[in-house]
Amino acid sequence: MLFIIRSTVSIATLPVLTTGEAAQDAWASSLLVVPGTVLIVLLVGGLGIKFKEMTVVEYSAELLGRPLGAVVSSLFLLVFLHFAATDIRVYAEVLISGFTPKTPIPFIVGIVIALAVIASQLGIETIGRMADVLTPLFVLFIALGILGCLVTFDIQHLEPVLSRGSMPIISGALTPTALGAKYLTLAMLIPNTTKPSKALTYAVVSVLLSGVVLIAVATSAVAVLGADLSRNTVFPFFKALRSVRITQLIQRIEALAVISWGYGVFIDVSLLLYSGAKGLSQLLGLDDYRVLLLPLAVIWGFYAVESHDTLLELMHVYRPSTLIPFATVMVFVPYIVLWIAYLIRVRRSHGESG
Amino acid sequence: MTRIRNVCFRITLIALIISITSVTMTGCWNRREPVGLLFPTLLGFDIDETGEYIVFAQFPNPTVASGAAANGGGGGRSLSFWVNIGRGQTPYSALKDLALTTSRLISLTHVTVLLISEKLARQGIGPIVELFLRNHELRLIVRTAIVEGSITDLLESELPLEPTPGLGMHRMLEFIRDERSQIPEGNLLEKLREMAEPGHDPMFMRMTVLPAAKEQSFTDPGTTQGEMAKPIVKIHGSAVFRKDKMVGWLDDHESAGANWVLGTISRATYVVAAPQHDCLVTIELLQRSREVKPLISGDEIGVNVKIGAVARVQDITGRIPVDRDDRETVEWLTQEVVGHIENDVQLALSKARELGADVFGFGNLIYRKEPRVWEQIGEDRWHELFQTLKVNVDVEVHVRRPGLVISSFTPR
Repeated sequence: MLFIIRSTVSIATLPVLTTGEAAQDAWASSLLVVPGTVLIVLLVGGLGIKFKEMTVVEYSAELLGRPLGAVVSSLFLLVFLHFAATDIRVYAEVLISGFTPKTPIPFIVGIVIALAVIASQLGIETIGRMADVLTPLFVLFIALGILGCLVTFDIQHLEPVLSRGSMPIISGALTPTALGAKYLTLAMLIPNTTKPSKALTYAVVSVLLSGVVLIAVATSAVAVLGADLSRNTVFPFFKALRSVRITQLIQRIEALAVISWGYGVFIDVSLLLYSGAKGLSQLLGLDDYRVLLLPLAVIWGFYAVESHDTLLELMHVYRPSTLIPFATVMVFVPYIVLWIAYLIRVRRSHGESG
Repeated sequence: MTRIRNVCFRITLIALIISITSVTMTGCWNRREPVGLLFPTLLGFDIDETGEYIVFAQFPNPTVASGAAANGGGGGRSLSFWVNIGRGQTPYSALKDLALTTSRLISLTHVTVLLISEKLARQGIGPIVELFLRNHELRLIVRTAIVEGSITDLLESELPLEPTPGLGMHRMLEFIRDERSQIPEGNLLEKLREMAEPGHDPMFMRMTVLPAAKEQSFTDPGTTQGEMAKPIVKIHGSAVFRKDKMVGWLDDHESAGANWVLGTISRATYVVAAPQHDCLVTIELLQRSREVKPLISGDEIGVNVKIGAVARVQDITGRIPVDRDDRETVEWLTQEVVGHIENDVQLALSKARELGADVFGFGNLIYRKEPRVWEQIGEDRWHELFQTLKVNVDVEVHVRRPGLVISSFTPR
């Protein structure tokens, strides 16, 4: 089950984000992303395991009262919507800029969302099992891609190492860390896991593993394209794989990255859609989240297609200046409020019993 | 009843999944069929006096290339390849101009060779690079060469034994490096990386069109295919760039010298004169190592270049008694070869200084290894400093193998 989170996060954190300002030190930024994301997991999951039987929608209502709880939960639901929509859109943009320039965006978005609806309709277990099936393939394809990069891998491009102080490295790490806000899905998953108390451990392990993938991908993109070129490329790993020719027969291995990316987006969107529908159904007091899937899918599809006019606009979403305030307002602050409410409650109950 | 409904639901679902995947997995949205496509394997770019870009695209004929209809189904000889020329204000518009005179859709996904005319190279290849970076069909793994002479003559003549000259030229550019390493490595991505690095100026392969190209051009009705076919092109030396503009040529020796320093020599041949025996000895060298280190002491900046190679005697035009115990001859031969390499490196260095281009990447070495020093020098001042940069060259050669015989053949 927890494999899902791992694949979604590692695939969604495009090295372009990292390579943004860190240039040849992208690997160091990736390294920095890991502790940051672990903190987010602890923030989200830590509270989650205190309420093993409840999703975040339920316990925020319990901690803050229904009206305020509903406000906080709607923020989280918007986060699911936003991440799902941007992820689908980025995937669609890769396909359109890289392979099929004439395919309309709604077509690709529609297909991904339709698949996600089917998966979430079948329940969270199906998504988890699907992730179990796809994760080995995902890892294999990424690994093969990186192996292919070794042909033109030039370690010289990683030099000079850490020569410009810590600021560029920190700036490169900001966006991927903020993307860790996706671990919000954990708050919806915990009641569904067989061993809720272990969920946190698995989530941290998934962060570490996705950290390894991120470092490997960022390093190979820089080592193949060079610091300057990779910084300026929209999809660096994709471009790096495209620029590799192993032999006359073995080339065009960018398909590997795109396939594994497709797997990741499928699981990612299914999970986000599931979390969104489940959360909304609990908020509205419905018995079953499934009735909400189709209407939500339509809204999400429209959002994915209409929210960004151009690729440049889409890229803007990933700028630290946009993403950090977004993640702070939508995830971090509400969670801190929830924690405070929880701690007050614990203290009060201690006071009462003592 | 619910069971049947469940089964029906599953069947519908599976059918839906299969149809969705089969629709999305098969390729293009707009049903572009391979039959309707043409794949140029070679693109050439030139510029005319008015600043208009000229693109040459060489399309192989797939049926001839596969050998299926070498002589044309209908009796007449079908072309094994076709060159179309387009013009436009920008490289891409020139490419699109081709569409007006081509019978099928042009797909650039199989372009493997990029040729750029000397004239365009001297004006700057920036626009071509832009196109290759942005376009989703073109890839950076194209072999790139700068053409000395007319691209038209080159593309319209046949490369002996090669059904499609584009692919033939790709092979030529690839294999020639193994045989004679005087030319630089030619993949566009590597050149772009060098261009983007601070303190490194790239060298491109130099391709000279031979006079035979014009004579054998198939537009000339006088020639017959295969008869007296002569080579049409020679790949030797390098074109040196500063930023995206070509600044000059390196000849074979200068280019070899630069490649020794870059560590990209895979096989080099030198002819050593042996006046004491009144003969010549041909030595083949394989580069084994290269080490370049910055030398910084106070204000003085220099580099240490260490080159290691192993040698093998390929032929001797006279008789030199090389004995198992004969240290002296081997010693002398080693010194001679070392001298040749050092000489080439010096030639390269002085030519590079003359052109004001750091083809060795010494600046980049300092940028990578001594970023603080680099910051002090400043990127703008590097080329000025390069003129007086102290370069120590240390060459080590081992004459390991005399070939398959020890001493020279002696007829009695």
